[in-house]
Amino acid sequence: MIALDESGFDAQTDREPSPATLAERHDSTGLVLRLLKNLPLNQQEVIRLKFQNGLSYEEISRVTHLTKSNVGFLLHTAIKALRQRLKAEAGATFFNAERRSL
Amino acid sequence: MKLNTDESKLTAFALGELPPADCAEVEKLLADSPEARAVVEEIRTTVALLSNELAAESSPSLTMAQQMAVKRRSQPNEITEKENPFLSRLLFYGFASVVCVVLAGMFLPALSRSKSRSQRASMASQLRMMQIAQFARETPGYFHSPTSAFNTEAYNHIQDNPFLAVTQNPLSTFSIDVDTASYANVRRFLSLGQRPPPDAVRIEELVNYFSYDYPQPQGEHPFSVNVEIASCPWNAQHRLARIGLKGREVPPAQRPECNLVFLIDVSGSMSDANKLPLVKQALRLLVEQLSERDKVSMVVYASASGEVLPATPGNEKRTILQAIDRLESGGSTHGSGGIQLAYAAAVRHYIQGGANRVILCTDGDFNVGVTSPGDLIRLIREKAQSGVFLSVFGFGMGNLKDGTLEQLADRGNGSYGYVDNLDEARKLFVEQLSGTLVTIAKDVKIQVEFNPAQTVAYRLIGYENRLLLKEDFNDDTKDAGEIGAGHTVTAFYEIVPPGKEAKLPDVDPLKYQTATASVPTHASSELLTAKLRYKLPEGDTSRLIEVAVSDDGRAYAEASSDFKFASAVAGFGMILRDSQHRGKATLDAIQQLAKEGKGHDTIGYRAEFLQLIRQAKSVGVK
Repeated sequence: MIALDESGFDAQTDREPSPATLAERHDSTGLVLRLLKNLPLNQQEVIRLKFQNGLSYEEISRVTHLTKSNVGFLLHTAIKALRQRLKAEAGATFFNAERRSL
Repeated sequence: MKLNTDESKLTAFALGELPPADCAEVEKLLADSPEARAVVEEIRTTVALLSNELAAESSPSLTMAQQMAVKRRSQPNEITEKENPFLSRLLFYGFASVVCVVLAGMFLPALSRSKSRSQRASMASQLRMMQIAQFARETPGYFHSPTSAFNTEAYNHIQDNPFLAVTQNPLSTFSIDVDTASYANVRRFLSLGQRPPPDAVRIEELVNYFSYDYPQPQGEHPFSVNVEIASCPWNAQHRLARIGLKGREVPPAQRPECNLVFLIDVSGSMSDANKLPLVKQALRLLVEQLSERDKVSMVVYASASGEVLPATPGNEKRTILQAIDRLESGGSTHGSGGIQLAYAAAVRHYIQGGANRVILCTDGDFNVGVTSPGDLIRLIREKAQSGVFLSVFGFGMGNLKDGTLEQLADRGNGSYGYVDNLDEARKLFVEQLSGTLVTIAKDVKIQVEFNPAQTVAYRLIGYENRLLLKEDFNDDTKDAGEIGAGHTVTAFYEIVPPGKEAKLPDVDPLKYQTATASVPTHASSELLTAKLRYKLPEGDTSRLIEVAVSDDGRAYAEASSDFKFASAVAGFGMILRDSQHRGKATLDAIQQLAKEGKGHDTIGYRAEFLQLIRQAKSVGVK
């Protein structure tokens, strides 16, 4: 019949972040926004349309008159830059720590 | 390592935007490459941080778009003129696109290919593009909607229905619900890269967002009743019964005359780009569908309320559209005053035999006057006696009072929809306008009697806040849900057959009575009888439909594609709610079921659901 796996059963692990992670997260608050403001304006705009206004690639493309692939490319470039600068600013262990807390 | 060429695909995948055709390739890459997995993880973390911080951003600095928006604001509000800032915007993007295309051509041949695909966009989507662009152009805050630092959305708590023993509870009674708001709201959360709160997920509204291909009613009743039973996809021991209603279709030419009163919240909280500006755009779509037989009035409310458009025939579009264009937000919300005025206008222009309806557009934040939900609901219930129906449309985010709006629509003989974008407005106000405006039956209640010889226990999936007492079924004074022209309503029961163990809460034996084991009256092979009561829109006495059903033992694989798709949506809801009854339902399994049940999907709603499953995966729903 259907491919079913058992992962649904014991996914109830404790998701509460540890105090240390919370402190670390607090430190990084605002960091992403600061980094965002260093990006080119067109990248900032697609980022905001996507993550603040919740538009899809399709909708962003209609609003900005960019093609969908341009939107994808801009978002990709922007997120990549943010990722790399996050690592540079917050240390290479940043993502490992965040992953546990999110 | 071929990571470099695939990285943009990984981004698209993490955002749930990769075309289905490319998903298999990326999934394979992810399975093979720990590096690729790490990249996707990093992208998701970055996106989650970004969404959080953007949502919490209180005083953003000016972006270029916003500076342009400020310039636009100082110009007269004419839609016919080409505006200079928009031209400069086009030039800016023209330049940006050239740069991007060159870059894409140099580094990403795959992207150039998809560009030529997107150039073959159909006329219809071209038109939509123009409408959104116009919307964006007229909307100062669209590119940069300020969101408050505190999220004040409110959802009423939902406790999943439990399994009930048939011997103790042979009857299950509930009111139908044609609302679809929860689905659009869930979609909004997922598109923002966030998991929706469990209480925002009402499973019946997810399932009822979709139309199913049930047969048109034949004969005297305004809707058909269709029951299908197959094995339960998330618990092979159980059976799944689907009750599906289909309301009679009313083609636009046969639609009765409409007397519509737009009741628009223009308080300060409506100023965000996805609230009042979207309301205006949505109303324009609706007005385009009206004819000279219809009448439109408009009432606004904020700190004061007033009628801004006296009843105007539907063919005087210019007058109506100008009144819509003039709407501006400001002030606090005095909901009850506006509601009084709107119903008064609707009653004044009442059309006998027509569709008389107040259409409320708001974020639901009533903060002046009658604000206790109890008082407001009493007011609405009293107004519903006048024969005027109510449609509630929720807009925007961050301040949405979901629970209040749903109850208002429920008590006001109406429906509740959530409009998160123009496409949703088009679904409600264009494609399904007859269903939105024309009620074909009201106070529709369902009562199911289970045969103890064929079932041990059952559980109604969803409809938690629509449950009725068994005594309410025959009581015509008890309010219940309405069904619109062409609407479909679907409900699922998960059924434990005899011989299978049911997890039931333990009840002490009675002290003063011996529990008489109920003896089946006759050895019937029927599994259940579904009874429906409804009233005609202008009637006060209910009519009864009865359908008895036997289980033909059908396996899930033999079920209809609508059954498969609808059960996939129900399973998706249980996963999002992290329901204890989700059994073996996983997103992968749900995706498979939804694919099998996709059917013709002419408008693409089901494809969008598949997209939603991918987005749920990307935000880490397990």
